[in-house]
Amino acid sequence: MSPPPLRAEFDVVVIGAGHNGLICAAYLARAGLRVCVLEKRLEAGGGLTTEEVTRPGYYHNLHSVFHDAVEIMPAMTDLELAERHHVAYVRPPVQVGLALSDDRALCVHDEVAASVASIARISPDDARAYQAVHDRYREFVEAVVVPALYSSPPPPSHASAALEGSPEGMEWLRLGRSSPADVAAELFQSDPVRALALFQLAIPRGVVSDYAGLGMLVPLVVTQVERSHLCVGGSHALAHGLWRALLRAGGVVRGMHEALRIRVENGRAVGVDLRGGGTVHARAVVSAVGFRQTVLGLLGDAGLPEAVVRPARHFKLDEYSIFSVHLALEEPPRYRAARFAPELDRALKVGVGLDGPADFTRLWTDIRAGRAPEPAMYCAAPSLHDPTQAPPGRHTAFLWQPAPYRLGGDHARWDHERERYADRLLERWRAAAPNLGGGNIIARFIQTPLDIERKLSSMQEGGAFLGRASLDQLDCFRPAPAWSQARAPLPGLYLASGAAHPGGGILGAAGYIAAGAVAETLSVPRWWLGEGAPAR
Amino acid sequence: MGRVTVSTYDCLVIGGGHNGLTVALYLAAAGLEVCVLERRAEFGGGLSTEESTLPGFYHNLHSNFHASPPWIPPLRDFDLGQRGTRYFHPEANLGMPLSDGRALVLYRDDAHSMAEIARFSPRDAEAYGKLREALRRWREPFLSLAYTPAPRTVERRAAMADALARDFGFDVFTASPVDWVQSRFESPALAALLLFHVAIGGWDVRQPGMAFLGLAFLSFLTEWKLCRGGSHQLAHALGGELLARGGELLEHAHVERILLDDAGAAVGVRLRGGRELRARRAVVSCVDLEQTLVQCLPEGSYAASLRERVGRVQYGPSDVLMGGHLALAEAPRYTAARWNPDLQQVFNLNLGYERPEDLIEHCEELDRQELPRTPRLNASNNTLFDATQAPPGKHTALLWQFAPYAPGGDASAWDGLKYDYLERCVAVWRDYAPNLRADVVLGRYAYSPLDVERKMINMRRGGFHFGALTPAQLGELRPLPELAGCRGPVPRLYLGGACMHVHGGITGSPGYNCARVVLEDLDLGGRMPALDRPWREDA
Repeated sequence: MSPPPLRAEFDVVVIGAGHNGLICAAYLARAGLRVCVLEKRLEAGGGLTTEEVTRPGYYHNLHSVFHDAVEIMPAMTDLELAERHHVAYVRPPVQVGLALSDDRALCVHDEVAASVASIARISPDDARAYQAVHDRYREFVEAVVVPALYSSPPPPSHASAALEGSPEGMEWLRLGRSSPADVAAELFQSDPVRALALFQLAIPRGVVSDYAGLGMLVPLVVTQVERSHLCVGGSHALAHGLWRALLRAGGVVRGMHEALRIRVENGRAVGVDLRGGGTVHARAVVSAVGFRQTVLGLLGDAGLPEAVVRPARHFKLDEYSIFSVHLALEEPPRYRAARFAPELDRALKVGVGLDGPADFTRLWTDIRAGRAPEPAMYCAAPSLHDPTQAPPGRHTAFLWQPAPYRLGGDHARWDHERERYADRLLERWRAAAPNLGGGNIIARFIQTPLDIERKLSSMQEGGAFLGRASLDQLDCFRPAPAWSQARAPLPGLYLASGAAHPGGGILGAAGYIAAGAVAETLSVPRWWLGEGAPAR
Repeated sequence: MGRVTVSTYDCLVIGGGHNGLTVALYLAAAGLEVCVLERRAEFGGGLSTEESTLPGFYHNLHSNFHASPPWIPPLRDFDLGQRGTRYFHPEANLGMPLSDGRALVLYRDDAHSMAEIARFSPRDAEAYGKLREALRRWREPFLSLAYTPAPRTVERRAAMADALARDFGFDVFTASPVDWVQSRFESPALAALLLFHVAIGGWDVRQPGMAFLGLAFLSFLTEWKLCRGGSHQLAHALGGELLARGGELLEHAHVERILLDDAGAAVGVRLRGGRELRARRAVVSCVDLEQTLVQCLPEGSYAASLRERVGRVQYGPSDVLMGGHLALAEAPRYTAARWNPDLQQVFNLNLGYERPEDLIEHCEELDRQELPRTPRLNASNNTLFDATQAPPGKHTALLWQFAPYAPGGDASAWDGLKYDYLERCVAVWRDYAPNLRADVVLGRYAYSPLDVERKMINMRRGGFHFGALTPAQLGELRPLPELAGCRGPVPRLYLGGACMHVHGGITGSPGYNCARVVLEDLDLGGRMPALDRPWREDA
């Protein structure tokens, strides 16, 4: 006798158990719907991966690390992730540091006053400017910008109309016609302070410093509304928390079940066919994977009109990926520049090789030319802030180097260049932190842009943000106008990944917005908006 | 709707391996508030599946060959099939290529096996048929021993002695598995294959008097199964069911101390980092004996003589393995498949133990803590049966090599030699499957006994049984006579890990048995489902 077939009828089927898929599923399960999440991989979590890739007992976060939206993400409170599902965060007081090549350093602290004091040692004028920008925009960002992240994007005229009524709004619109590099140059005089602002745009936002129309992100960074957190136990612990929330609400997650195609009948999405056979039927199909994957892959043979398919074909993927080296260490990195600013050794993320805007220009030029860039790295030692990520007294650390997917035009070259490039990056890191040599490195693990794509197929071409964060692909244009309200131009289908507004990274926004759209269509109370109580 | 985290539960379970999850599930199903405390980031213990070579290639780093699924109690009692637990039970179940070009394959179907054995020895074919018949009759009695806490095996054996002797001969109580098998089968290949089956269960086949227990293990011949999606899928099902039933599961919760009240009873635990959790009714430890009794319980809380004997529990060497995991561009193709094409589809492979002497040679090398000079492998190519475990068209392979924990007396030597030794193992595989060229091996991962211990600190000295399977450490003597009933040395502390009867491996037995004892002690025995039927037979 075989086991009986798995249940195949649900109210909602979600494709992809990344954080957005899990969030969407958990909200809907608590709304009383029967929800099934299909995941191609064994573990749920998507970019929330934590693995012992160097040596047992050393936990490495292979994709997302810095969770900046923890304090503003509705899922944290709505799903009671901390209270009931054991998700815990630490927020290191020294958030960002730049280790400059002249062995000076500057840091962004949790407290703005401390950031200003640190900047003052490099440039008193810029310190005053930093304080002024912060003061001018802080309230505005909290009142206007943050809520927009967690709402369906309004049409452009509405978005402008909402801003043009106040001086800050008008200024925001003006900066929003400029590039980050231009705005950094306008607001600050010294190269290191300009670099400090640009540093926080590439990661975790996926924004290149010359992207037109995103200059307002510079003041956004300075307001320090979003602050970097580390998930205790590793990023995957958030996946476990979301998994718990979903299962306790009666939902199911099926790992190693790959969606092959979205089943379309009579012009609406009615379920998902699985690789290897079987179909899961549902009233709503939520795709929490990439846009191209959804349309060109899962809907590829559904015979959709060209107008529906075309935007996916032209959807621009991320312009850069990340090459990373993860280390198991005897002791954490100690920077030469910590003699100038001792707090640098306790900073969460440390920039190495990024002294000024010219370094960013060179970085993007290298990437666009398909060259392995000169070292310009994001470095961190998570175990400094969360000792559970390494054996007692030992440490984990990593470097992230923004890098092209196609190296010299050929992504397969990464398989041959990985060791050599890792050596070169480590050498540069060691120049800034001389103790990263000798017997300190117990083991290392390299991940190339190609490896990212191999592991997480939504991160096509190794792009962590599931689609370029350029102005033509943001807000009500993400991923395409007809898809921007979490609904596909095909009844019964929804989009809940970072390919949708407001984009990639651990924001928990796309899944939240999609849950609202599904609940509205299926006429179940959006309990999180006070429309009735959640099901338990 | 917010609720303050409850740090007091009815029961705390230390260790989130499959036994810990099993205990917790039964306790939660009986209406108790339960919390499982797992030291690692991922629960499941030996049910671990990781992309250790390359992305998309899944490797079972610990348990891979599961014999017990039809009988694992929680699968049956909680219908974990609905949580996606699926097993493949390959027809060509156990087999070996021989260097002379022949091959021997044992199938689930006895007639098929006998026809293949007859090509080696018609007499053995008949003897095999008779052995299988007898073993089939004994499977249920053997299983009921496994799923009974601390069975009085000496008494039971006496009660069953006549019947056992009738079916298996009187020497079943005195002989070693090697002697017993060799005196019944004339083909060295068949004898080696049967003994290989016993040896990979972690038994020392040379041990006199062990033929009886070897037989119990032989009753699982051709029962090897593969968990769909990787062994860790079973952990997901157990953990998911636990959560759905209101249980708690905490990761990164390393229990450093079991807290006792003034009367000396277990009332809670303290975690690394200082957090304390309280248990109103029981603390159940499913980790190894050393951690529970020596590290977590204060000296003086129980008899010093017991503590001293915990230090003398014997570990290894028969359950210590080095793993080799490969990402492959194509499946191995065996030269000996010309003799029997089914060799290509065998699930559990013996590569190199062609005669019983080959096995004995390794046992002796392990006694001396030497690396086997000639690697001989337990191997599998899981993706032949489960395509989900590798990218489309690609394959994974795993090899296990019996290995010393401390080669030449120094465990740390493994870090320097494991990849060289893996190469030697792969070369042995290549002798039988010439297509395993360097360009076909896309990725490799060497996993030494030292790595095993680093990852699973329970698996002391790298052994998966948490204590060797010797006559003095089995049945009502396991792990030590006064602890065999699942009750710890202090009140309200229970033991339910692989150090307990029946032994390590994915059986659910230690956890299930412990849950029975806990519930009986709490006067909730009536809430334990009756053990009356197998989970289900496979397709």
